[in-house]
Amino acid sequence: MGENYMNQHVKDMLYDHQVAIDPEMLWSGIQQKQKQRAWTLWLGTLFGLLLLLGVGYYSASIFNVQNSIPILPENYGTAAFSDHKDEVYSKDQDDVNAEMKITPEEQIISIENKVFKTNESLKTADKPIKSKIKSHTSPLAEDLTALQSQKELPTLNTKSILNNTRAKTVENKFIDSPIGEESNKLSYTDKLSIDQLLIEEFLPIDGLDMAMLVYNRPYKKLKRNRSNRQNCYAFGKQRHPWSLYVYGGPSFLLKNLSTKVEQDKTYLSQREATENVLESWRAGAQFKYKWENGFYVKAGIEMNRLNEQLTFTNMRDSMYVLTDQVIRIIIDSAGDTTEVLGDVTVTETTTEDWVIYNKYQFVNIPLHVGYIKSKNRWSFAGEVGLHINVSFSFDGQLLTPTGQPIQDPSYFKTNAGSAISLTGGVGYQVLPRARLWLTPSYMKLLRPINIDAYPIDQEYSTMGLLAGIEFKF
Amino acid sequence: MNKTYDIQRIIKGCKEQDALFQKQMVVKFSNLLFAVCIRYVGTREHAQDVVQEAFIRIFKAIKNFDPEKGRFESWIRKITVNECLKHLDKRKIKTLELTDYAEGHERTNNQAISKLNKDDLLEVVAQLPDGYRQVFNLSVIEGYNHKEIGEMLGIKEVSSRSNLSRAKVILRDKLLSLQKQESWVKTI
Repeated sequence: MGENYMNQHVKDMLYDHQVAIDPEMLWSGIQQKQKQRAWTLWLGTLFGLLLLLGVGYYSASIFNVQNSIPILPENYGTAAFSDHKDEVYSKDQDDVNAEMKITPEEQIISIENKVFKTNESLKTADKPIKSKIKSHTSPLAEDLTALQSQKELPTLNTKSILNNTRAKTVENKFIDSPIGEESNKLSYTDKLSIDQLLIEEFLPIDGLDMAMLVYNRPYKKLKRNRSNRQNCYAFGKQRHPWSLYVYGGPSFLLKNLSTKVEQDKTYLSQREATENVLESWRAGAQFKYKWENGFYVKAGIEMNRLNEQLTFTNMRDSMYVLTDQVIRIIIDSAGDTTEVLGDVTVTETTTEDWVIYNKYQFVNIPLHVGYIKSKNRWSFAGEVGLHINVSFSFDGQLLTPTGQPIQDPSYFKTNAGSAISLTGGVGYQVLPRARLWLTPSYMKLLRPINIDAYPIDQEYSTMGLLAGIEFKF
Repeated sequence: MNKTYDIQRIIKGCKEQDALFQKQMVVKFSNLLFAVCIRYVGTREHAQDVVQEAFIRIFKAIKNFDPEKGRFESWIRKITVNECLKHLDKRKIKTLELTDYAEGHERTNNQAISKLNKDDLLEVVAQLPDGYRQVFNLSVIEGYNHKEIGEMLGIKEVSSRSNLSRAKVILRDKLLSLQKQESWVKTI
């Protein structure tokens, strides 16, 4: 009954017992924690989306088989175009006798007769080519129909025509184009502006030495198709001033604890002895604008996380009294024993091995200025940066000056201030609009993260190797 | 002056993630849950952190609260206890497994307990060693049986019993010690 009484009594007293705490302070702490978590979630989601976007873009570029649209008439084989002149490459034409199509989007702008100085080799037919033009909607359709009425067209030695009829520069540009070598098309020439490609075709017509068909092809209709030819991209200098850079990577954390006050040095030693730096990492996304002279600026958002381990052993004494314990046994001459009972004070020492993982989390806005130099597909860059802190949080515990672990974020500033960084980088262009980067980077916080009243100063710098991918718009 | 709302309105507001009602809930239950946390984690500093975590968890989970399944106070108390256990686990404070402690050793001093006020009793309970304190709270105050406690703390059922016995012995002796001090003060 006694035990039951104690149980019930303790329960009655403590079950609904309340201890006063300032609800305003509690509420502000809850809000702060919720805000920090929302930030983390938001940044994580953003980073995930950017990563997904990047991976999706990259995958679509490589594996776009089913959705690819042939950029040349389908019977003409497939080809790849970049949207820059001087960079037109094409797949070999597999079947020179295939029908030629001009799609409705390709507006025929002129057909004219051209008289070339031909020689015997041009008229020597190795094999006949049946070249038809169909599916067009041009007003000049009838003329084209007239042209295609020629049933037997001689095979052209297109290389000869190139040599004879085109300017030397043109010849150099397209002499390697397989189309020119194996088809009855001489060349694809970009003569116009950036938004369309002017295509000239030469058709031999009876009664004429040569007919030149000229039509343009809007660039928007040209789609890359890598399914049949992997190495048909152009990696020349291109003008893409805007790009998105997504990056992340581990860093070595260089922590510096210091104090100028002699009496705080014991606490400093205690902190240094109990804390181990684990690792840190940085990740972010930045928009980049590059000028033609090689200079660029970058800005975006970045998360920096520092992890450390707090390890220490806490000895705690708990003293209690055991009553009615045998404290002495008296044995008399007859051999009888008498037990003497009394109170025994017991000191129980509890050893607690504490292993606490602390997290310092920064959200920064990085502003970078740099210079990039490219050669072929390789690029080299150097940049300096200013990282403006917008959010800083500490999650974990620290030893107090009295040696007790305490979770009190108020030891730290709510804004870590600014940091500067120095970054180098090597980039490799894996796709015309995508470049992989490997960038060693040093970053230093400009001021301690503790509040001024704290006995020691806690400063950080990191040295990391970041990897990233840059997508050009 | 802040307007106060009845609990049903506060629950409804919290289900809609309305910060006004979340704050009302903090105001209404902070003292109760803070006391629960002190009982489990031992210190006010840790309890303050845990009670914040508990409220965040409550705000997240409140959409799942079904009034037909139990009282709201019991529900938030359960969440808070779980947060306390999680916190202790995070601090790597494990419940000691005592299996060789003989039961039947307890004696109670009802007079000593009766004389204590709630705050003193809470302080005595909070001073129990970590492992014993958890079992004592779960068993005596929350009313869990030893099988449930064993599952919650990841210890054997027999260990839960032993820890409870030990906790009671320590508690009793602390109370006696307090009583003696009090008598001594009175004598002076």
